[in-house]
Amino acid sequence: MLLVTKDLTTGYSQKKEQVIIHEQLNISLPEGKMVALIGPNGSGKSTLLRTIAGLQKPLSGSVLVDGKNLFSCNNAEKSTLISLVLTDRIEAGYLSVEQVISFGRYPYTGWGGNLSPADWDRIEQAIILCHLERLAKKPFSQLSDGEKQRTMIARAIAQDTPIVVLDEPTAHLDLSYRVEILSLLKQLSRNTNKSIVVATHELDLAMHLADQLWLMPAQHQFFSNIPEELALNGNISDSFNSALVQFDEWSGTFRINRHPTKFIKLTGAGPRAVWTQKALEREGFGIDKKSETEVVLTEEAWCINNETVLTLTALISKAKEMLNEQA
Amino acid sequence: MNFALNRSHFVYPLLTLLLIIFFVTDVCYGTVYIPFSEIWQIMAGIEVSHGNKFIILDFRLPKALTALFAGAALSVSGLVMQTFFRNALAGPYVLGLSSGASLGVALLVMAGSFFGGLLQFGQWGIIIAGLLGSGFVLTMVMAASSRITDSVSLLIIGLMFGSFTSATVSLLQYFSIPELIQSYLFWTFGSLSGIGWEQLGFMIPAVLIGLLLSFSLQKNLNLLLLGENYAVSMGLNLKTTRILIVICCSLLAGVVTSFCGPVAFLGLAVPHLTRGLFRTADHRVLLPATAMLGAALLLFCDICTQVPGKDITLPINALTSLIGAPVVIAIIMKRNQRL
Amino acid sequence: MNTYKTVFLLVFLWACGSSTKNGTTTESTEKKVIKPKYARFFQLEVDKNDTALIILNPWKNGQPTQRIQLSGRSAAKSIVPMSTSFYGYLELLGELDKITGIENQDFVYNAQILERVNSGQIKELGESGVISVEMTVRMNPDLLIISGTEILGPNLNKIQQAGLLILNDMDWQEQHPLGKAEWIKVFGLLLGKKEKADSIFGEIEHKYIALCDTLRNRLPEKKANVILGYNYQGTWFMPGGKSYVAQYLADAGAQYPFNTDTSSGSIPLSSELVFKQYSEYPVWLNPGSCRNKKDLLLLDSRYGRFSAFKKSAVYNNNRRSNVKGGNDFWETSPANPHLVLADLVYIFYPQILPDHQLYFYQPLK
Repeated sequence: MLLVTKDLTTGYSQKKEQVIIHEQLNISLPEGKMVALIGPNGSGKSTLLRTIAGLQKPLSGSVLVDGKNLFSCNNAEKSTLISLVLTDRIEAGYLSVEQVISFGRYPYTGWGGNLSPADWDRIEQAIILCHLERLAKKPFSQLSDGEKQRTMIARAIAQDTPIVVLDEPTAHLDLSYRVEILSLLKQLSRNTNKSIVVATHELDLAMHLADQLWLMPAQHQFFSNIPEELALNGNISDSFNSALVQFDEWSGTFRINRHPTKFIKLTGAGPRAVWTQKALEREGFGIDKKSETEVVLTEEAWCINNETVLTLTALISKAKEMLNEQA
Repeated sequence: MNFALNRSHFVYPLLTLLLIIFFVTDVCYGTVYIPFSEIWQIMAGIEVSHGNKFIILDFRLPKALTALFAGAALSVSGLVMQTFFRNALAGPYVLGLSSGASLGVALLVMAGSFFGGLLQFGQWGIIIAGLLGSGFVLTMVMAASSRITDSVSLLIIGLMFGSFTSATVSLLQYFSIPELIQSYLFWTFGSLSGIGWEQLGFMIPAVLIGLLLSFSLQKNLNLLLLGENYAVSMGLNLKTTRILIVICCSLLAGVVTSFCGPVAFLGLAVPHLTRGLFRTADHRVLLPATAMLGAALLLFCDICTQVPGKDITLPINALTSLIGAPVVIAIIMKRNQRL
Repeated sequence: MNTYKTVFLLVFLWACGSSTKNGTTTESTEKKVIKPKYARFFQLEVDKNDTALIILNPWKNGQPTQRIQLSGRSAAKSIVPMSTSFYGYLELLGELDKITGIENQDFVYNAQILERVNSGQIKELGESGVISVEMTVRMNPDLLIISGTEILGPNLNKIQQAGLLILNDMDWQEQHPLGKAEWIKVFGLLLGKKEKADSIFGEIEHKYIALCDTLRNRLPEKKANVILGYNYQGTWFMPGGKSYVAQYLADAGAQYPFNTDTSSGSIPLSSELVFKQYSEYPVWLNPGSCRNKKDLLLLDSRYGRFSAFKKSAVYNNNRRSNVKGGNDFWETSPANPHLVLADLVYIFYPQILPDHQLYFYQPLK
């Protein structure tokens, strides 16, 4: 099942005027892949997401799911094609995890909402896929944020739609949960062959895990490719580099632009060298091969201009001392 | 499998029993002492004394039936509103429905003077007036709710609609003649005892239709538990649901209010009591349970209006408030604790 | 959605078909209508074999509002007067002992009734709006009398449904004191004492008119000016020009500043106006519930500046009242206008009735 947009123009109408955010987008969402939608706030991420999810009509163009125009379907049909995970807060007094997940089956139940054995199969599958077996009978409100998010994802899985759209699923979560959620999503796309679109700010994780990035640096700009291509093409740097921050093509991470005035020569290799460099740079020193002040890594200590120190902290104070003298 | 359903195996029969007991007690217990044996005879059709027959068949029995259906109707309408607005403090009074019904009835009564007779429209007219009035206010509140996300603001809007309609009614009174004001005034006290069999013939079907409508919405209401966005993504047709909820609540709260006057707290408190009792949010359980609990509670309140030993009858609103207000306070305390 | 539409349509059609219809009245052509002399809101309808008492609606231009069949009806033996203002009629007819129920004993003056309440012979049923349906139906009085209104209210409606007779007494709407008193005939008709009622009324009428005539002949040049009422939260209510009070004043030969006013109720004046314009008036009647000058000053010290106050010409109709708030004026004056008139004439022109002892009124000392 493919989702394809044709000449899609997203935006909204405001007092008889049309505000265009993105024009003539032709993108496609492949099966069984995870796509990360990356972009700063205000670039039109939410609008595109809502349009693809069928919640907001595009200004022009169409969204086709398996050849069918998404916006000519009614809510019931849409609910069998696309499921959502949002940042909405759920007040689920007295609902158990299992019950929340079971809501995902509602598009397939009759007016009474009664679940068949087949429905329960799917629900249990979803529970297993999201590692919620232990928590199934617990009240939803007693879960941690990460567990709640997993439950909402399980609900979307139970809804058994070919496409799952998530809006910032890792917002407000601790780091460990963030990794967990995105890994889970990746796993799911592989195991269930669903197409998963995640809007997120986690560029690092997205670049590691996503099969495709949809990059929106600003309104009217859109790039779609595998993460590595975008990095090599300079799209990522162009999108995010600023006076403060720079995308380091070597490491694939963002580095803070520093403007050091004092320089140190660093000799050594391995992790200790990396962290020593980081510490020195954080303190405002630059690394320069031509500097007169030299730090040499010995087996268990540091040697700065032939003086030995035993800890990094000591090294830093020594370096400060020395270089301030010179100035 | 489902904790709530297990519990309901036990609690449902209990509730049914309670309902029957309260109903029977309400019929048997009143200002005037009538021995149970005589009541039995009257029900069987044997006339013992004309006065007592009237009291039982034309006074207490309609009153008990009113309490039964009104209790169920108001409570279920409160539940539906609390789920739809995702607001634990929603209810027919707070969201201005009662005031809307009162406005409808007031307009009818005062407009009736232009057409010569007070009873020109009869019972049918009162239903329509109450329905339209409460439907109107509920629609306005719904429209407001789509623009306002803060739940407290929504409650305040509901109260403001309520104040507005009450003020409109007061104004209308200035242009109306004393008898109409008198008639309206009687209505505002809230009473279960003024309903006769003819009126029940309208009220009961209206309530039954409203209840059936609410039961048919059980899945939609469950979907709404996760919020409108999720509900829509799971196939809910929001527009249809909104309309059905307006009709349902107008039938339940609007009609009852136009017949009995405003009855306080039931719609607000009973859904919470039901949730606490059954420990579930599933409307497949909550809807019938709320109806039963509401009916039982109002019957209980009606029984208590008869102060034992004295000849005074307390107004029904005094009792529903006595019971309802502490429940509401408990709800608010509990919610703030969890946060 | 379609099922809902069908259901709605069906409900709509069903309800349309079962709306209530108003009853229709038929009129026979051989009816003779006997109207009372002064009262405007009741009349008798005499037919071949039929006599009926008709109560008329003051708010709908005297349209008939209640019809009580008299022929074939036996005299009422148990009465529930829902207002103390009916006691006067019952007392004159000697029917006080037929009372089996009243609203409540607060504001009751009549000692006999109070005693019978305490001994349990008279039951307290609650005020009109909240009258106990069960107790009243059980008691099954032959006659329940209320101060007439258009709306009975839910409780009284129920009682009427049970088959009890509720008399809509409209005497309180009568604008002439004799019109009020004439309602004794209604009581007489329902209590089987028609002749006695007629004769009593005849006497009262005679005394009243005699006094009016006496006054007319001997009216001094300067008529007494009088104000009534008191200040309540900035409003001072005075009787309207077409009220029964204004009629009393006119019959008693007093000059009332609002005798050209057309309302039959009260006029809400601004207290400021009264203080300014009418404080010089020589006679002041009915200042609320005050019993003496001290009470009056406690209410409002400015009352002390009134001429009537300074000249001790302030009178109140609570000479016969008790600590519980019961006042015989309200109980017996409707049926005995001649007593009220005598008091008033004495207040305004003592020289005309030098031997008169005030009955209802007392001067505030």
